[in-house]
Amino acid sequence: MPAIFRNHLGKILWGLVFASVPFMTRDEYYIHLLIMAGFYILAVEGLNLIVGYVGELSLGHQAFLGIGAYASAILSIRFNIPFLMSFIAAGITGGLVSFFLGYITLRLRGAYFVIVTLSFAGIMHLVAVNSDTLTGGPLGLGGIPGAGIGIGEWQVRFSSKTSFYYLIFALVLATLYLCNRIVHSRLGRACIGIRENEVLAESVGISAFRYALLFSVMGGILASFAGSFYAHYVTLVSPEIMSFPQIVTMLLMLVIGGRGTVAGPVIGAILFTIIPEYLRIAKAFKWPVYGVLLIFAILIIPQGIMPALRGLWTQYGSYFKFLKIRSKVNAHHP
Amino acid sequence: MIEFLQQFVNGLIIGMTYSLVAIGLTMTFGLMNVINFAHGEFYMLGGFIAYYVVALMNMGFYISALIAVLATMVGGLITERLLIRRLRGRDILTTAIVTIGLSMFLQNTGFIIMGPIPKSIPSPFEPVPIYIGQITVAPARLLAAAVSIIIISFTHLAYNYTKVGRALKATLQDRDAALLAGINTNTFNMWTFAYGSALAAVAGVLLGAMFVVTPFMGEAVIAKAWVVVIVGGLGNIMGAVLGGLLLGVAETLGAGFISAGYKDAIGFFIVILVLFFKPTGLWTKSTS
Repeated sequence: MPAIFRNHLGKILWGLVFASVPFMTRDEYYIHLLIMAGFYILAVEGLNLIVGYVGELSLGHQAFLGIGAYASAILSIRFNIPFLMSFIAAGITGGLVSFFLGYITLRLRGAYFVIVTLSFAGIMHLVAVNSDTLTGGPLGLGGIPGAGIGIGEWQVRFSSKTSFYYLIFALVLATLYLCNRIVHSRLGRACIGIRENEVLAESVGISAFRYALLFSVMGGILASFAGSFYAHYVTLVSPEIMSFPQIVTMLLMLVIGGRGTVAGPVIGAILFTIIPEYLRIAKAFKWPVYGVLLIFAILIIPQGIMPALRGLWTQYGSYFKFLKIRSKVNAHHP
Repeated sequence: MIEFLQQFVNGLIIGMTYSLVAIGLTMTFGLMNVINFAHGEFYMLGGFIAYYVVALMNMGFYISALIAVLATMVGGLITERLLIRRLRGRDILTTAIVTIGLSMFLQNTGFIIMGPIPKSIPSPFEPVPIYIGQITVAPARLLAAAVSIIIISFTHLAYNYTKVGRALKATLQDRDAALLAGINTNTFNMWTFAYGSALAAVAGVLLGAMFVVTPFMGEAVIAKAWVVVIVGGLGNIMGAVLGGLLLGVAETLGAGFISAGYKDAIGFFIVILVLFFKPTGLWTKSTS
């Protein structure tokens, strides 16, 4: 086996498994669940850049889902802009807003950042509810055209669940690839340096403010992309998308999956999209259970599932030496 | 002019209840470096328990208010002992996530118990407004103002002029030095947390008698209380009181004269302005 395959064997296998899901089941419901999981993977990877790498708690990340979704919805309904353009425009809008927000708040971090991001999301929610003419008020915007890519005659329409599945699959792959590259680059190492010891990092010439700003802009863009995808997939956006429970869901996925790892949000997002569906009977108990889970996750596995698994692998991995899988020693957990 | 004065008085009264909620938050942050998102739920518990004591046990308003406040205080004690103390020394992110978890749990358990219909604590007063000059004040509001003024003055006096208060002040300023001077900071943390929860519960009862009680009432107030805490300076108790009054008045005037829909946005703009020009809080003397 060529080295590149052997080194990435696990990732390739998982990729193949998820790529073949539409061939394994005809039940559209499962495909829909995985599409939603993909949507959350994009958003939570973005949140991870801020919470996991910069080490600041953002409680306003759900606002970027909303900004992306509304930007996309307004552009495609009012101005008939094609999917690809509105998708990119949504990302740019989210990036700009996130830049201005970060520019104001990232100079003062810690508690200030938490509270300002929280009230920022509150404002965005208010705007969505109150400005009827722009956002459709509490009912939201409906009838968003579905997704399609192409020029003139050559159009690919994403009409079936399966096609949307492959669209989000591609987006997730691109996101994971980019996040992996970013966090293992100078950029990511600088950011981890800041998270671990800001004074030390500053003393060797790393500007905490600039790196934190860069990472939160990237986080904002990712969430806006997720929001834009959501708008075109569900074809309806309402202020619900940026309500507080949304950020709690994302935090749960991140904290339990493992912050500060690229794989953590993937595990978290898939777990917490699929598990709740099986707990339908106890739907009323979903949020109390989520609250308790959040508390116990921090108390019992403070780093999350992914680093815990990695710890097990370094402890017992030697039993699987015959597989010749190279395990990367990764010191990236917070 | 009369309308302006009327709104101003209404704003002051609402602001006092914000102050009550914010005092606990700012003390918890100053002492333990914890962003307590469950604080809004102690506020909710105040109104919630008072409603159930009145409705189910047919007790009088004042008795049930007292029961609600004491019960919430016990809740605060338990929370500090079992949860917050375990997280000592962990970063803000960790404690914030845990208290968000607690808040979600309490809110939604409350929702399961109470259901979606907002409840109103039966008020002990006739719904006849009282005239002060040309300004009208509802009796429930007058009660809220009186209770708030008493509690805030009590806190102020106790904080500045008693031995316990001075020990608290010392712990806020320098925890290690306070430990060296023989102050039991663990006990302090616990009782401060409980006192803060009790004040939030008082606010919950007062507002519950003015408006309605819902399981989610804490969510709206906690965001405002944080605004107040930032405006007053993190950890600054009297700053929080003044911040509360400022926010209450600004909101009421804003809702009356600018836009009612964006009333809740006013706090955010105040925070942004404060962070821009004086991030240590409006009433903090510069320490340099």
